[in-house]
Amino acid sequence: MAEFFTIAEASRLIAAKKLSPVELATICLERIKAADSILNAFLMVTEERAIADAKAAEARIASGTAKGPLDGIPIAHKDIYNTAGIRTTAHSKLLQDNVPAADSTVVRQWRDAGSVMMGKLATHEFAMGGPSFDLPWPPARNPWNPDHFPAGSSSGTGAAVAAGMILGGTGSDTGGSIRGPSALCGIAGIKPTYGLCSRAGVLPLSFTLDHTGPMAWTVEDCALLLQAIARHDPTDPASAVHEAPDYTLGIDAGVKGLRIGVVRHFFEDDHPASPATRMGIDHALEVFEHLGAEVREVKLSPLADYNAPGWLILLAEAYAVHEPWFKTHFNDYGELFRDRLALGGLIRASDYVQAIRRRRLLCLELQAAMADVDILVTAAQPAEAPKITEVPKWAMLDKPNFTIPFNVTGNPAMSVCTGFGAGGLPVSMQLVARPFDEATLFRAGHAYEMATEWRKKRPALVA
Amino acid sequence: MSEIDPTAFDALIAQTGLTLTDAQTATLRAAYPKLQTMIARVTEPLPREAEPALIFQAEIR
Repeated sequence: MAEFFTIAEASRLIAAKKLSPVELATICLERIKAADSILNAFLMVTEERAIADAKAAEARIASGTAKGPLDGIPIAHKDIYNTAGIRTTAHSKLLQDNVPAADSTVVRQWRDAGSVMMGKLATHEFAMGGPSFDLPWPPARNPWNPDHFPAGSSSGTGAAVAAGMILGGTGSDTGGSIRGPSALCGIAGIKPTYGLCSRAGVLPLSFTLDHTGPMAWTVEDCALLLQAIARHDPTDPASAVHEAPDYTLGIDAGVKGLRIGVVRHFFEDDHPASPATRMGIDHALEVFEHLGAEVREVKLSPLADYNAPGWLILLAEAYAVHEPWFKTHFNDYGELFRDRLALGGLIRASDYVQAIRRRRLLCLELQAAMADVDILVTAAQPAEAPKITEVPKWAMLDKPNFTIPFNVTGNPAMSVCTGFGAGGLPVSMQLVARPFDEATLFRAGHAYEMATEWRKKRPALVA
Repeated sequence: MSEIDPTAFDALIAQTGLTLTDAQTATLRAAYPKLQTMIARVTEPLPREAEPALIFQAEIR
């Protein structure tokens, strides 16, 4: 099998003319051909477009007009991101013939940065209904063991990045849909601060909880990908007016002097995580302390108190988005999305309002808790990936998840691989920073990855 | 969470305007108590000043 590259490595080699973008795109296309019949990460491979993009990048590099670190880098997009002239389906029968006229803002920004578009990636139906077996396309599978769940809803992105079919990709995160698949597929993925990256041209799920963001093999690669999309977009009504710093500038600064708070009750009491997950977090905290960080415990409201407003807001807003189609095409949706979202129609207006009032108090609580710490550490997922056929329909209601609290508050949060469990599948931790402090998140995550060996191991399926 | 009164649940379903099969209704009826548990968590009394925050204010550092 061909070598695996991170974006940072490939970018350096391309700039030095030691790696051709066409050669790199070809490696990725060959991996897709070899493994995607098992993984189902792609809904569409845009091979001709990829080669054309790669040739254009190669010409720029040859002429000394390269666009920057993403020039010639193979990426792909979750299939809720509009792509001009290329089918965008939300993995749903309802949109199986939908061809947008224009790119979403993020797609355009990565295209303008010179990236090579490899195709459109599997998602849970409309970013919530999965893993589903009753849709026009099968669900993506976990490259560490294809019998297992890659999480969702950015399932194709998680699988494709872990398998080296692409070097980075887009995800979206309303309750954990970037951080979940990043965790279960053993990669890095960041949900940026609410408003930092544009959602314009991305099919909505829940307006006040939706975030766009990148997923990649390493934290450093996430920083490179985020750099190209962290900017104000007047066409997104929630877009923040914020000037992003250079995320790579201080990424090697280490964690010496950083104050790290661990929200231990989330994963020990509120939703007990597996021994491997806890061990991974404890080891990461030891690594941070060894590197000079100060670790202390932080207490927040119970995890369920964050999940309740999160899910109520998500279901009510998503129901509002889908209600017109629900009334005319209810049975064209897959069972999981249809049943989960129908609950949203049973939420009363006053309950929704109470949920957003509660949300504000939780934002204030987290802001106060982070006054004396730079980073929070907690779990991203409770355990290794379950079997793909054993994911409960009502998982989000049965047990509180670890990710939606930071959709509720809008803080930036990132999944980082912390090793492997007894089943050989990845486990992870979640890092959380103050609003718009993605740079500190990258600094901590990168320091951890540099101090550990986990980034050297790829799934046996493609290794 | 106690089981919802069938009439009240039927009224909620009717309000959606959706045409559901008996099986679909039964699925939602089975899941609804879990949703009620979440609703109970957000409907505990709140101070009057706990208004929704609809404008995100970035921290200045």
